Amino acid sequence: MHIAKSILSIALAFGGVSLTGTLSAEVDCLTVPGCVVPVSSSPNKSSFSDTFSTALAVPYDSEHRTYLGIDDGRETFKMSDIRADILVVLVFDMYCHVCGQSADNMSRLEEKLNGKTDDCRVRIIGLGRGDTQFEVETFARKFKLDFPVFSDRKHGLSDGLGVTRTPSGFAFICDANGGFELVDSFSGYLSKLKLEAFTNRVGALCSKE
Amino acid sequence: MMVAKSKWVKALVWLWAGTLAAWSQTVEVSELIFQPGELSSRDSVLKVDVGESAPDFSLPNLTGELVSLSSFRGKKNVVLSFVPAAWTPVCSAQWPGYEVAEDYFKDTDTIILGITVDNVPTLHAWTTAMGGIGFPVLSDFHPHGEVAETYGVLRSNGVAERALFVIDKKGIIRYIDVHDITERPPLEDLVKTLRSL
Repeated sequence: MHIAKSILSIALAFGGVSLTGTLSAEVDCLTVPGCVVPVSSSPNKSSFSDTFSTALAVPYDSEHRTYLGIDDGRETFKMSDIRADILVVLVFDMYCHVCGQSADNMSRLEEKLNGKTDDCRVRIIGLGRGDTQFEVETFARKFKLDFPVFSDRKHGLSDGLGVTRTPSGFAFICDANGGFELVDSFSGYLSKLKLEAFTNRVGALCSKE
Repeated sequence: MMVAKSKWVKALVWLWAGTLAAWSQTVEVSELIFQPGELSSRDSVLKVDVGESAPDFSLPNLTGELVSLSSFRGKKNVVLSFVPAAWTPVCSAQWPGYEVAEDYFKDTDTIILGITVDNVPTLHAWTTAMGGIGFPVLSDFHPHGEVAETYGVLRSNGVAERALFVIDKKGIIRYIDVHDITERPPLEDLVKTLRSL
């Protein structure tokens, strides 16, 4: 009987359905550590370039400017200006309830990367898809996201990354010349398991750097 | 022994088949959203104005209890948030966003009343799928769209506009935003008004 219960638990866990019978919101890639969810559309290097070369207003928080390595008095910057070995871009929307459900785990991203990425400089930014700057900052304040966040009101930045659903996350390897390469991504609800798997993979990238 | 093994194999196959079936039925709210196609940004004529007394109404909430606008007079500022319909784009995000922004409403002693022309069971299913909504959600279903019509935000196809009305504690309308139905009203515009009350 115990064996049967165990088998049932394992089967249901992989099916994304709990023992109480409630349907889980996690439908893809969530119970499989190491699983990479591809972005829905097919962005290419060119569309990434558009995103990385779009002018953004520098954060008014001096700690954020220092964090991104853009504290030299400029008024605008591009994502390609960010001083990082690996840049993690989280795309969310204040009005997306799955983003709200994922926010606690988003706020733990930096903490989870600590110890895994000591060998390289990882920087995280957030993009509010469809949000005004007021809205994206409201989301960040509500859920205690410490990293800099930026408005993507017209979707231009996140469309360039191939985002069609939120939240989504991307990891880019960056070089000193402003070059970048997409190496990892996830989309949909950010569970603890998905966060763990994503940070493990980013950590592994760091050790290769 | 062979019979016992065979039973176990059968049980496993059934379990796995059931699991796959359940997995295939698992959907996210976004997959349930109806895409209405092109819509005109606005399709109604306002019947109230800033500075006027807000017309009173009583509408059922998600448990069927009647909620009256006048019950908040002298107690709370009120934001009436009309959205076109359950299970449609934009609407399915706007109210969860107000949950994230709840501190602004608390700080300004404001309650939101969400209103659509859908019936209570539909609103129950929709808001449950969105993880629940923390403010009263009211059904303007019967007589159909009567409150939306009174305020002048009922479209010709029977759904409401995406509209915001801010009503102060004296029952006076202080702000109206009948927004493009395809866009979300910027939060800062609403917050600025609430802070000015």
